[in-house]
Amino acid sequence: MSTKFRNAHWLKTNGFAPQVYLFRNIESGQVIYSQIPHVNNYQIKQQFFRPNWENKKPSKRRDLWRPMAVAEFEDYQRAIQAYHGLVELRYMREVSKRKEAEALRRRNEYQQIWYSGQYRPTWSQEAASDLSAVVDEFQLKTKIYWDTLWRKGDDKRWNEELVEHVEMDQVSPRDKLVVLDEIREEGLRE
Amino acid sequence: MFEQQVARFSTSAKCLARSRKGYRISSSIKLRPPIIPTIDNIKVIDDHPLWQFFSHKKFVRNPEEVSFTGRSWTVQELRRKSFDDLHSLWYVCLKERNRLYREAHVYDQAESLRSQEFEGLSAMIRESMVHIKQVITEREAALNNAQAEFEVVGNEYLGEFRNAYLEDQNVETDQWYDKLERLQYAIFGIPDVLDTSLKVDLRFLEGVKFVGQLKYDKFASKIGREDLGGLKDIAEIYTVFEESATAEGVKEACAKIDEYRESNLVIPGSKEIQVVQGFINDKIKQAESDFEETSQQA
Amino acid sequence: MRASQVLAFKETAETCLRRPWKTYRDGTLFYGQSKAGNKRLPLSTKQGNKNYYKGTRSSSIGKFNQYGKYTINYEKVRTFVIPEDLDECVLRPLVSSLAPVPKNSFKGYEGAADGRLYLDKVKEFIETGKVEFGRSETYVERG
Repeated sequence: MSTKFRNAHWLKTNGFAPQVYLFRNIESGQVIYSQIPHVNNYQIKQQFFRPNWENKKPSKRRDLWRPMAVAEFEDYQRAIQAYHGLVELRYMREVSKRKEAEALRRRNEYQQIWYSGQYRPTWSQEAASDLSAVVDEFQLKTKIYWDTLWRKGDDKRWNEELVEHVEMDQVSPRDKLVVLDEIREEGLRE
Repeated sequence: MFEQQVARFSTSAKCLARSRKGYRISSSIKLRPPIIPTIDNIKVIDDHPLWQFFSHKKFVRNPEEVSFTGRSWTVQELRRKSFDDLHSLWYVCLKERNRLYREAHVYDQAESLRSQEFEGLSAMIRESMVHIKQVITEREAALNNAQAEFEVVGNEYLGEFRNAYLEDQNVETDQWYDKLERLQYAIFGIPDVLDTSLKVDLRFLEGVKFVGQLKYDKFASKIGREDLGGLKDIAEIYTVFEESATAEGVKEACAKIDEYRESNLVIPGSKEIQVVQGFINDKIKQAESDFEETSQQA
Repeated sequence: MRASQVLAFKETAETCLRRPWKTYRDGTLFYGQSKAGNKRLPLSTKQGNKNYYKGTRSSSIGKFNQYGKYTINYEKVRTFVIPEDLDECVLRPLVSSLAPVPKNSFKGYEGAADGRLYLDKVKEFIETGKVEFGRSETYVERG
């Protein structure tokens, strides 16, 4: 499936909606951006720069990746633009503007990124913040389906005129992909 | 190989960035701080079942709120309570303990010693629950013992009751009606109001026989129907049992027995339970249809 | 590796020195099973041979068939019968400590579980109807 980058034409002909999927690793809290509702090696290779003990390269185990949010855009071109933007921001956080990003992360008493067990909440919080940055930067009209509205955070962080927030249906983890499929179909209808 | 090259062309935003301004994120962008999730976005419905784990919808109570003066229920107090009360009280205690466990855990996680106060209260409530169990066990044992005792002295008591009833000049009083009803209920398990869930058993049958015979013996000579020569089978006894404990009632029953005797039927002992169950079901059906008719007319 | 052992990597120099005697919040030691060197400790669920099943003090709710599929036996599933009018229950889990404790005397009877006492109560009920309880502090009631 998405073993490589998919352009607008491919997404359209293969029945995908103009959406970007955010998957969260429930073990480590890392987030993967995806053009289609799956996670695989391509995205892991593409989106994890300079892994270290705090930010390891995650595995593609399907049971660990849960949908965190689905961002729906007006057309395929904009969805691709947003996807590139998110990956670019990830690159900035890890490589080109690493110092700036590190300064924003919450620390524990030993000046490491705060964690509990293997979980570092900062990764998913940064993903949400990057999404809001992308929306503002490109002025994209967006509808975001959140797994829980809890992760949306403060309303002040989002551009009210551009973004609409919706909560996904609350189902068991087993049925999450069904909900994603329903969202995809809804996106196609619009 | 070829595919990879194509992919690289389309993947890199660079080529598109050259052609269109503002397609890529400008490198001068300022990174935003992480978005911290807030519970303000979550709305919990008022009647959410998990609220039962919270006292007055508070996250945790202060230890001062918990350490009020009180004591556990004693066995003596609980002996006065009915089974329904004890049943409710058990679940009231259980729910309160669940709340306390949760709150103690919260204090425990914060490494606070105040969780002990919650655990102390929980232990007191546990004592209440132990006492509830003791009372119920006691009652069961007492019931078993009483049933064994009744095997021995039951006939004597029923005989006494019978004599008292037969010797009393005026038994057509509310006091005696109530007494008969309570006797039926307490000794033979015959409820005041019959319903469809009722199953006739030997004990029920015994009760029907005792009460029916008692009424007949009391009123037969008074209404001059000794000519019947005693009640012959369960159908006759049940007819008397069903009627009210007055001379009038027994008279009516006797009239019905006259009709019944014309058919020359005699019910054998093995069929008695079936027959009585049939009578009761018929009666309930009759009452239901009557009720429907009256409600339709209304 | 236990979660608590991961914590050992970031301890201060002082705690590193104290390590062997320090227990973590989850009750585990830095190394070994007990501080005193006692080896006769209760086995955990992970220890023992292939036949060792420690269990969780919970009952099964069904069984596996020969193909390894689990069928639930609903007779074995725990059910909690809750009274219908629980919300209307006015009883509280504790009693005010000012409330007098009634006294029971079983004079002439063996005790609370005596069958004769129960039978006498039944007889009383048949004679008089419901039995009322006295409420004064000095009142002594028959069990």
